[in-house]
Amino acid sequence: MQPAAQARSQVRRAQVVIVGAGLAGLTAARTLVAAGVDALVVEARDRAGGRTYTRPASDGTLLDLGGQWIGPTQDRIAALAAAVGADTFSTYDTGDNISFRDGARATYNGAIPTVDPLISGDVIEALLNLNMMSQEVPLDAPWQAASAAEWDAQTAATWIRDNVPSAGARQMLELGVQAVFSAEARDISLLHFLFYTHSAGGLRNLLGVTGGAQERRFVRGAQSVANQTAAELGERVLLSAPIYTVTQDERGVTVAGDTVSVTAERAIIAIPPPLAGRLRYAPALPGYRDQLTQRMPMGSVYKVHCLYDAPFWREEGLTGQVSSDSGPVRITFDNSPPAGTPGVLLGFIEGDEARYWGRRPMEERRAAALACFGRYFGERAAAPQEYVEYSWAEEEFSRGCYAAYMPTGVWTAYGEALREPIGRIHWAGTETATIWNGYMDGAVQSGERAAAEVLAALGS
Amino acid sequence: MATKAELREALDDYVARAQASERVRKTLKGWNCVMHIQATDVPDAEFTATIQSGELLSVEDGLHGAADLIVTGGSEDLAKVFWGEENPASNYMQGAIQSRGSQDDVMRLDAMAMFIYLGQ
Repeated sequence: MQPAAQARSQVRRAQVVIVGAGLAGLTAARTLVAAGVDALVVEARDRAGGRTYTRPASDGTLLDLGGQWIGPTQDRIAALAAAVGADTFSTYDTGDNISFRDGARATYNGAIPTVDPLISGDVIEALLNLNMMSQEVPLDAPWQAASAAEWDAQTAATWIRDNVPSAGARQMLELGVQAVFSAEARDISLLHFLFYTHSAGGLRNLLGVTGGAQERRFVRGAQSVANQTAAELGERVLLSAPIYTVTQDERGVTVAGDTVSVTAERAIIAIPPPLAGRLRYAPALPGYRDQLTQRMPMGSVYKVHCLYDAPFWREEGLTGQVSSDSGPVRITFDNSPPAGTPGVLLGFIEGDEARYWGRRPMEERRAAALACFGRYFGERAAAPQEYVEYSWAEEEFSRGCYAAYMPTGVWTAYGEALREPIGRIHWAGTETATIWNGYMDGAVQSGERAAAEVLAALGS
Repeated sequence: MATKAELREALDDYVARAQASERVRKTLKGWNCVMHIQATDVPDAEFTATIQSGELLSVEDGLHGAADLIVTGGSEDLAKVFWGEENPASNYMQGAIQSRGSQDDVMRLDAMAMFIYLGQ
């Protein structure tokens, strides 16, 4: 990788330029280079990895501040990880989970709280119905589902309100939506919810730990996959090189920023759609494409890590997983390193809670988050050795996580614009994936697909 | 380890509870499925369950017909689930019992197992 200072004011040429050194952009570059194409990646940040970001705590413990899990059927990210030597280990999932509702704490085992069987029954019935509906959504063209118009005209919250009898089950399902999308159920088109569910192979995959999307973590952090991939690409990755303009004509395409200008035959824009929409294109993109990116907001999330000398909750027979109906932190996991020490609890502040607490002073937010950990795991949890929080909405080159989502009406009105190349410009990023959309695996799939498009266009 | 006879007894009890569940019949209405159940640690502990219109009709010894779903696991784990002693969606069971078939069938089986476990 080339450091920022060396990248200053460069004028470069390549066969293909890729904007964004997240997993999508790096995969595209890796695929192209393997096919003998001269590809160059330009990245705004001073690091690779995009929405995967691994930083050490003060004692050196690696914390994943962004995407972190890998699970069954995520075969593309697994293959990339294996190829670059990124090992995984099992998420700690032994013991009982905690359910915190109406001020009361209870324990349960498995993906769905079973404290109140009636509520659980309603949740299971809703999950089954949503799963069955999701099967009807074509992954490459959600707008072609037989019920697309009906489903895209309502939010996930509307469906939950109209189809789930008990208030407790409705609350639990809305918490599930927050956990998966880092947005509120009212924010998201039902059609998008169903597409996303189908792309993951069902809600069991999305919500599950063992056997689901949260099953494993990377020993050296999720960013290690991107770092290793970028290292293999070497000087083909330029860091600290934000791009502001994309100009194309019959001779080629040029992406340019303050520090670098790259002219190529083809460009792959591998950044989240809302950020792709902020680039200035010449000629201007068709209104149809631009209006798509106007309508795809990013999720809102803080990841909060608390470090302790040991994972004391394990001794109490707890997994470290919580689902709660109140407070800023409503979902937690045991995020301790493979060796088990120090103990690390991970909490998510998502959707409305992230929007609210993101505007409060850090000390106030920290106190509120620690009060949650204390309610769930006892006083010891409220006094960690170290507290680390990270807000993705504040990240200039992500502006949110985990992914961009579709509010009502977007898939049916603009869906076709999501992947369709415009002249010499191709689109990648997990939001464009048909499998595991929104996940690292989807990012890799999108990079492979964009690379294949480019190879076809180049006649390679 | 559970014996074949114990597994059969547990399965018969499971069928009775499934037939008594209004929620199973209502939610799984229209579901037709032939399910093979195999204990990995007991020779010949193989059963065929037939579901018609969402109703778990019967269990027979042996594997009959083409299976839509194949459920495998240790005899002890299978017996615990069939007796309703263990949450089929528990962290442990997620790894201990495998269901192979179309996503539709697996999802419906998951729901049926949870309804029965919850006494719904």
